[in-house]
Amino acid sequence: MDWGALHTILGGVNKHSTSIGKIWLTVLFIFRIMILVVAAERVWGDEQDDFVCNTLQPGCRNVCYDHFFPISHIRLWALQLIFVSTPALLVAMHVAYRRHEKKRQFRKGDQKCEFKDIEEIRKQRFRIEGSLWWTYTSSIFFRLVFEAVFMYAFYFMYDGFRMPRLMKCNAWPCPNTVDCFVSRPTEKTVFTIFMIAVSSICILLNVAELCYLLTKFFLRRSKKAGNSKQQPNHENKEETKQNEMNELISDSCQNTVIGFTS
Amino acid sequence: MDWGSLQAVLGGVNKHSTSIGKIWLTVLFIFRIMILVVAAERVWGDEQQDFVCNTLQPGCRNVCYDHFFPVSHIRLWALQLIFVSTPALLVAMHVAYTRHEKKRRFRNGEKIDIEELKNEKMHIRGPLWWTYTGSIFFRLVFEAVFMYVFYYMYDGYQMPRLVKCDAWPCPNTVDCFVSRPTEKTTFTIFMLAVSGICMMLNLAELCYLVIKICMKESRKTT
Repeated sequence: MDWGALHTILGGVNKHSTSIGKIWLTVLFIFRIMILVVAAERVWGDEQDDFVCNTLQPGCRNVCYDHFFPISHIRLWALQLIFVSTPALLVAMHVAYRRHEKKRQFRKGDQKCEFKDIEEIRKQRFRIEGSLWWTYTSSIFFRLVFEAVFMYAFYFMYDGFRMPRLMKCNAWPCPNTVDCFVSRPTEKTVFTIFMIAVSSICILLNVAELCYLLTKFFLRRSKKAGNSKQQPNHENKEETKQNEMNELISDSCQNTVIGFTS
Repeated sequence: MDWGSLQAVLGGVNKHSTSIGKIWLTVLFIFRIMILVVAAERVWGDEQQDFVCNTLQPGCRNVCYDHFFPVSHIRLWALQLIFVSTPALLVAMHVAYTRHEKKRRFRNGEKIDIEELKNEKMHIRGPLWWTYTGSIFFRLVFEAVFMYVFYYMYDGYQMPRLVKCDAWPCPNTVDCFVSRPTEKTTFTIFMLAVSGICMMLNLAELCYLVIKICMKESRKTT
């Protein structure tokens, strides 16, 4: 179970995302996970081995390293990427649940939607409306929260995003104050700033996607309100509801067929 | 045979699980196995190399490391994850056996569609219910046992920075310093928390199955 397996799991979610969601997923995998695995892990690979202190006192180097790097950048990024990817699984679970319900209806012989076979249900692409809209929107919200929390944790833990060359340490058993030198500080600063920048781009993409979904939702509502006003006044509420339901059913049937063929 | 193969094996069991079971499996793979492989193994990677003792006495560092870390956290977690995943195989075996019986009946002339049989999702009833509930019970037992072993072996869940060692051949008492204690403590607490979440999911699933069977029984009697 590694980044490749996560890629497989999230690839399935991609089908039901918006275009912005697909861009976000691509940025996540190529500019964050791949950079982490291919480059950043090598930069931080010798972080403790080449953390050198100006003392012969045994244990001083260990203690100073532990004091200045409570959790390594690499581990924080790995945790951030896992937590940020996970809300998409809520959407995957919701879609799987809906498919399961449709399969159950199909087996019972419901004639509401014309599906040729169970394969069509499996390949069907669901539109982001109704309860799926709420699941999708909350998953984006949680992504934003996790990104922000981890960026703050980074800033708080390392007093900014710059990696210093020299650290002065006086934790026991170091005698008095000891100079300790970090390995590859410039390269680490460059990669930290890069990862922060891509993280911010991902946050912007998530905010854009959230705004897009909200705008779509309000437009749809105002369209429905506009349609219902145009209908004659003598129609009672039940008929209006029935008409809306029929519209939705025929709409979703049409769209599922279109979705399948496209 | 590695974590990927375990995922392939358990993926098949997923189809016959309850919703809570599916959530449990996702938490197991993403928050436990993946974190172990991608992060924790690097943190513990240099545990013996950077275990430093304040002495020049040859052999003292080896002996002290062995005394304080009889079984490494990483190995304990790997064992825990394997033992906790294994009861699900009981369910897989039961399902395979039931399918085999149905195929046998089909070959003897009964009219059953063999393709549908392969893809059929079995409902958790009858003897399968007992197997499934038994597997959840064993999962809970294994989780609890490993959590206790962890607590007993390491005197709690915190990794100290300094351990004082006086095992032979160390002269008198020697200060030994552990590598990355804070990061190790963080990951230990994280893995413990996720383990606790998995136990709660298993308990919830157990309660759900028991309530379901009680309701079914009461419906039959009324």
